[in-house]
Amino acid sequence: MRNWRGPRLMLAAVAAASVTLLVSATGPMALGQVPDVRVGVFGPLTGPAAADGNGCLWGAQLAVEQTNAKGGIDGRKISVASADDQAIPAEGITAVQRLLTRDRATSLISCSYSGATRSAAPFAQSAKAPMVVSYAVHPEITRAGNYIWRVFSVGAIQGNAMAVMAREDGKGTRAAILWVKNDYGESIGTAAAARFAQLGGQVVFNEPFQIGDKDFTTMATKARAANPDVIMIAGYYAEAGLLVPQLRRLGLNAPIYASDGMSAPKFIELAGQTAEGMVVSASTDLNSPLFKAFAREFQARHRYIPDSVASHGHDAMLVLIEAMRRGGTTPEGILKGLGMIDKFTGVNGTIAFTPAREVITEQSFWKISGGQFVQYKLLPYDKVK
Amino acid sequence: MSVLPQHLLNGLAVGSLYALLAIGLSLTYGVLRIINIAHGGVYMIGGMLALTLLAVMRLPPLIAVTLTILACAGLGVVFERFAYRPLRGANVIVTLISSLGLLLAMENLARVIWGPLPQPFPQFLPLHIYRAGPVVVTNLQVLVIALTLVLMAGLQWVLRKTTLGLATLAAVQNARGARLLGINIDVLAMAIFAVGSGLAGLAGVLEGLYLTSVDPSMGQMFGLKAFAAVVIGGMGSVAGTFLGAYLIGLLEALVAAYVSAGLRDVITFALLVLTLMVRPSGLLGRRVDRA
Repeated sequence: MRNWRGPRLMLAAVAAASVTLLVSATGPMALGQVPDVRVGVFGPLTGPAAADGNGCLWGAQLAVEQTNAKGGIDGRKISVASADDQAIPAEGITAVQRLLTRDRATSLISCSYSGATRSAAPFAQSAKAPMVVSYAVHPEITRAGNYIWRVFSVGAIQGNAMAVMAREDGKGTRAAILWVKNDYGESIGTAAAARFAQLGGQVVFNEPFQIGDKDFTTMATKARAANPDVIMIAGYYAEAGLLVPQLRRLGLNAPIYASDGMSAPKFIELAGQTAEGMVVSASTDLNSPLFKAFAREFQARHRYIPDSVASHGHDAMLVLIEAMRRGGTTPEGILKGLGMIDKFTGVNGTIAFTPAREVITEQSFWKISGGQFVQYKLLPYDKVK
Repeated sequence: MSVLPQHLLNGLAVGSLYALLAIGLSLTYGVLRIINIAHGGVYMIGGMLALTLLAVMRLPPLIAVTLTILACAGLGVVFERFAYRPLRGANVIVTLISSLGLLLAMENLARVIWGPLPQPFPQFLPLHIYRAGPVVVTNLQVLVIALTLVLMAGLQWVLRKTTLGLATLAAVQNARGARLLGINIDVLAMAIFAVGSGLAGLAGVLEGLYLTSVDPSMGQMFGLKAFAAVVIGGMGSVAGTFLGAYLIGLLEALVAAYVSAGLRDVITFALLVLTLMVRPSGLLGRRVDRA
């Protein structure tokens, strides 16, 4: 206890300094000027997941830019405050607190992964700040309460959709299901197995692999021994980019239906020729004119074709803006507005919400053809719920 | 059970990669008492460098691979001269920290140069698949296993029949005694680092070929597994290191095949802990002389 005083004094000094900074950062508002509607966006802006966090933030910012160019909401401009959580759960809490207090955001968008979003959601709920989740899929997130909404289908919906495709499109009767051992892979894999069986198919192989695995020869050998006529993979491109070539190399040639973790160009780069003909769940309809317009604008600014995180960041912001139009810009108004959204057209497809504030939307599938993703099929929500 | 030979073959292929990597660790520990954690980094540099030479500079494969091996050997010599030699005789923890620093520096430098994401490795050998009933063998598996066995046999020959090799074995048995007999430890250290690092670079290339991609963090887990092979086989025993590497490769394949893929890494490190508890000198290790 002897050293207690020093740190406490330091802490006080730091606190005082930050208060000063805070005041000067917020700045005095010019008289008569209508304040901006401030939306806080958090996500991994640095660190290993930075590409996803920034892509999503840029998607959201583009929606704000376009809305402001058309006069904003009843003459009020929207502004975005961003905070970095590095996809670390503890940082998610800090980021949200900073956005709500220092940046005075009245609503939030999660551009982050499940871990950080899950830890942040209860804080948004208790601060009564409406939060729209862009692409984090953990089912617990929206259970934090009535202020938390999500524009991305949870894993179970995607798993159902993959099973429907494997059974109906792939004419599969004996499925091998390979999934990455985390919430994402498990939720998709479990749902896919259950739905495939329910549709009259037989699951002959159902096993997890680990993040960071490289040698899949054993798994491929085992899966082949089960003699499947269709394969489903729930995972990310880093592992699947090695898994798919190794499956093909060991003589497993059944058609593959893959989760949206493989809907990135990097996957095709890694898997090369072996990716040809694969059908990938993607949650975006590439043929929709709205998506094409968004992709054009996004590419002009950031020099790459927007991926799923970018288009869902964009849709999360569009939904929030639509809610403000309908219910007003106060947190209560936004919450009311979110509840009124029905058949809203975003860049990824139509958006409505279930009573549990989960998105109701079509499930899109792409096919890999000639080293590119092309639009393949759309499944209506009724078929995959 | 009909696919058992396939699982064994898969295990042998990965075991070969572990063996190529582990041999450098075994020799550096045997002669110099350095726990060379940076070895996994050299292996990673091998994979990434070959990627650049093949995919960007478009060199013929044989030249690219030779250059990669030479560059990695050179890297090993530089590390020995500037990171380990000044610390010779210091506590093993000191060299361990130095080694850890080298590994972190290499990994982060690689992230700056090549980016953090995995990259597809140029498949410069046309793939051939041979089928024998339920067993599928690729020419890559044959290459990895055969090349490793030939290199290991060659290394054994060098160790037993050449002056440098005999000097190495002498130094493994008793470093101080070897010095008293006029063996130049500096030259020996350079040779060991060159050979070990060259083999690590080759292992990096083979992993790229066999498992189809390379990335800046590929050396972490493989480096640890190779280290486990050295400890299990017996610190400083070359034959023991081969044995340890193949044992781990096979055990991992069988556990993944008949128990669960999730236990694959667990089993290796469980075996490591068990070895340290029951037989700390390893399977073929003699009680090491603490000179």
